Amino acid sequence: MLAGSLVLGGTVVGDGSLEVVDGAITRETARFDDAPSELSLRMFTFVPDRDGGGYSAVLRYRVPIVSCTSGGVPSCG
Amino acid sequence: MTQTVVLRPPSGQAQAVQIQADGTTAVGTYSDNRAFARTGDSEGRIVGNVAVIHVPASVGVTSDWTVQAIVEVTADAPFHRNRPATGYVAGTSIASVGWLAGDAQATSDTPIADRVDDTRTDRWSGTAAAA
Repeated sequence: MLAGSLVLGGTVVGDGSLEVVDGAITRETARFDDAPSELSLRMFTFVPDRDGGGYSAVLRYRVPIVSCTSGGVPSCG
Repeated sequence: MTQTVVLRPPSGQAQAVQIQADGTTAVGTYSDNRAFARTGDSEGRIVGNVAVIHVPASVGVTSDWTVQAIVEVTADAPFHRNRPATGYVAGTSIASVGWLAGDAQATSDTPIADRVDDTRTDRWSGTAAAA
């Protein structure tokens, strides 16, 4: 599934998902049926944290993604 | 799978906050070859199809920095028999923090870079002016 990248308030652009071989980007765009659904990143927002300072980055995907934590404890990897 | 928020100042070392493969979230430096070097901890949470990553104030981000989200999935062996890929990477556009946070006004000629590995800083010589 290709990942269109969208910046909220900006312009829809992006290369989609690119293949990586041994850590290097190959410039090959992933085929629709090949790329993992986790790469279906669709939207990105970045907002100030009014209370604690700093910012929060919010990434929204087209599909649910797997969390590697259970109750705050890492459970995979 | 890693989810990384890359933060680039107008000059100097890029910083990043990353939800790592083991589910922990870390602050660190980010190099041009997508190398992340951990320097501290942060917070991240994944709920359904949304991930929220906290960028601590200690990183020192200001409105003239740029930000990009990069998602990468890697494996020890090729994903498919017909392709050599041992990983995939996707990224959002590189955009001005001031844009996204609402404290700078975008103009029609404000640049957006859209490559995962585009680290050129010359594209940002004309970052959005303060509103």
